[in-house]
Amino acid sequence: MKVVRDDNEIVYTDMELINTLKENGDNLHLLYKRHKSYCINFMKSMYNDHEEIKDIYHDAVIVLYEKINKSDFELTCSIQTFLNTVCRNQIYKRINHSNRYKINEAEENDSILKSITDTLEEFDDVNNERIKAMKKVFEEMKETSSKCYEMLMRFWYKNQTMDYIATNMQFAHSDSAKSQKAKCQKQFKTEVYKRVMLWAK
Amino acid sequence: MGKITKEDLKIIRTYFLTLDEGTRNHIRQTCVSELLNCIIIIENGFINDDSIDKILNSIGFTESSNVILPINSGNFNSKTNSDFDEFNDDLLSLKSEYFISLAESSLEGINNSDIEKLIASNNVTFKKLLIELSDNDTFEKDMSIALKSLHRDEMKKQFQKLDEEDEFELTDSEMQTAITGVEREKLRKQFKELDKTEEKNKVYKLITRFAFAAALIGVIIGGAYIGFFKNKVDNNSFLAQNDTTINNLPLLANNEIPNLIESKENINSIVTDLNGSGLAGSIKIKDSIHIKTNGLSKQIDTLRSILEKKIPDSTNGYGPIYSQMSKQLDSLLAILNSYSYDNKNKKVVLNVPQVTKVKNIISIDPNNLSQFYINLEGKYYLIKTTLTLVKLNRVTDENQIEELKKIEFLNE
Repeated sequence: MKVVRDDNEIVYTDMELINTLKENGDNLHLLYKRHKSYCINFMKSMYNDHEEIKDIYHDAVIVLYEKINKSDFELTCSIQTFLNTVCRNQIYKRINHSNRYKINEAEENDSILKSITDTLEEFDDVNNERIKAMKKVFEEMKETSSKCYEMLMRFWYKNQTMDYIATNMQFAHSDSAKSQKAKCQKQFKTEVYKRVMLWAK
Repeated sequence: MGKITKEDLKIIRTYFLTLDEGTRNHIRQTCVSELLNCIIIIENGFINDDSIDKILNSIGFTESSNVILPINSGNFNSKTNSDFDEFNDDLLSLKSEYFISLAESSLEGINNSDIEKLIASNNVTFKKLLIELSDNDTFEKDMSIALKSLHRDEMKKQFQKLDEEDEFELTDSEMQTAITGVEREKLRKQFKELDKTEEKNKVYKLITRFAFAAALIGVIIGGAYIGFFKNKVDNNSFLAQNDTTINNLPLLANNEIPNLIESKENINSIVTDLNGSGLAGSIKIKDSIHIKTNGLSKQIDTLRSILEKKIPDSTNGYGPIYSQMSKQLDSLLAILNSYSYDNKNKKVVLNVPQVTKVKNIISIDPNNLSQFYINLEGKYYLIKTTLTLVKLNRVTDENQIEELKKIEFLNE
């Protein structure tokens, strides 16, 4: 069983760490540090650009973190194996066209490797004006209205249900949480369109 | 009216952002005529999608170099450029909010005269906004992407910070590599010295053989000569003298370096807080913990003294010796105050200045001896499983020290 210790010497198994990450990202650094050197060394045998290897590892941790936030996520192997496989997929994706890396027979027959096909999902339109405005408004919202930000973050990013949000954000009922979410979203929407219209001028 | 005050701006905002016709009528009836004119001009400008500059012009504001000049009634005071920019921004922001509020109302099925006017005038900005706001799915999809992208940026920043911190930390393997490197270099030097000595010895042996042969011939041929002069020839005197000058110093220095002081002890019981009950106790452990303590200070001090006093000038023929000893000192300093703990074989190696007996082994969880605390001369150190040498981690947290002292005290 793989374990990781935090600064206060609390020992986490893979599953415990995943569960704490589902609630908040405070322990992400533990996961990052625990698996980094193994993943980097694993990649060195496949790819020789050290800076790019670091980026690939960053992306792999992001892939795992985003998966953890999905309700249907189930870890079928250790975190280390998952990260290594995502790194391998990312490398393969990057160098596939140049045929610098070929999947060998052992990898071809490994059922775990075959089952993990994840790579970092890329967004084509992340630079469009509306999304840029949204990011800016979210950043400001985080500073000035952190409850609203937390509410929208939990619902849209962490995919948490309104019942779960109501319980964890100390709302009396799920309905009051829903109404608060609607208010926050409206406030957000108005602010975004205001920016888009202002920028268009 | 002297100028548009903040209070006037508040009235203008309320007029445009309220959906209540009664409030709007009230404002129209009660406000001063100049402000009402201003409101009418702005309203027409918004509905006709005029630029803000054009609207400001119509009100009587124009920007001329650094000064805003009143051009119509002369009622407005001269204003600075920043006032102009502020009012320009206010109006631009008001227009956006006004359109968004009307478009949202329209999508909720609410109708009013302004919405009718905007649709009738075929206002492009309003029409576009209506289409965009009605596409809630795309908005929510974009919102999700924006959150993901923002969070990814934040995570990457956090990872880069962790990487930077990491560059200042020596990992166990890096430390091991460094120590191994120093030790290997030291060995290489020693081998080179040995090789040199051996080469010299070969030459000496050869010379001795020739000398012996020469002496023998000398005895036969020069017997009579010796008989006459009764003198002795010491063939090796020159060689012996030379050897002392070059090689005796390292030999002397090496003899002076004391052997490593070691102590070994086996500890069969550990002190623990029994199930967190606050009652401490000493319990026997199945496998003894073997502690080997190396006292390094004597070696370090001797090496330092030799390097400082006996080989003061490294250029005076002793460069390699100086370098070798200096590296030996470095490698000792590198492992000073370090430890390793082989949990499987329950072996602890401590590299400390003086050999000291471990007073107690204190464990919070006696079932898990992968880590515990030791008391060395009243100071507590956390020992974790590590096969490579790592620096001793002294407990500095006052509460933790208090807790450990309490466990020891109750055990006494």
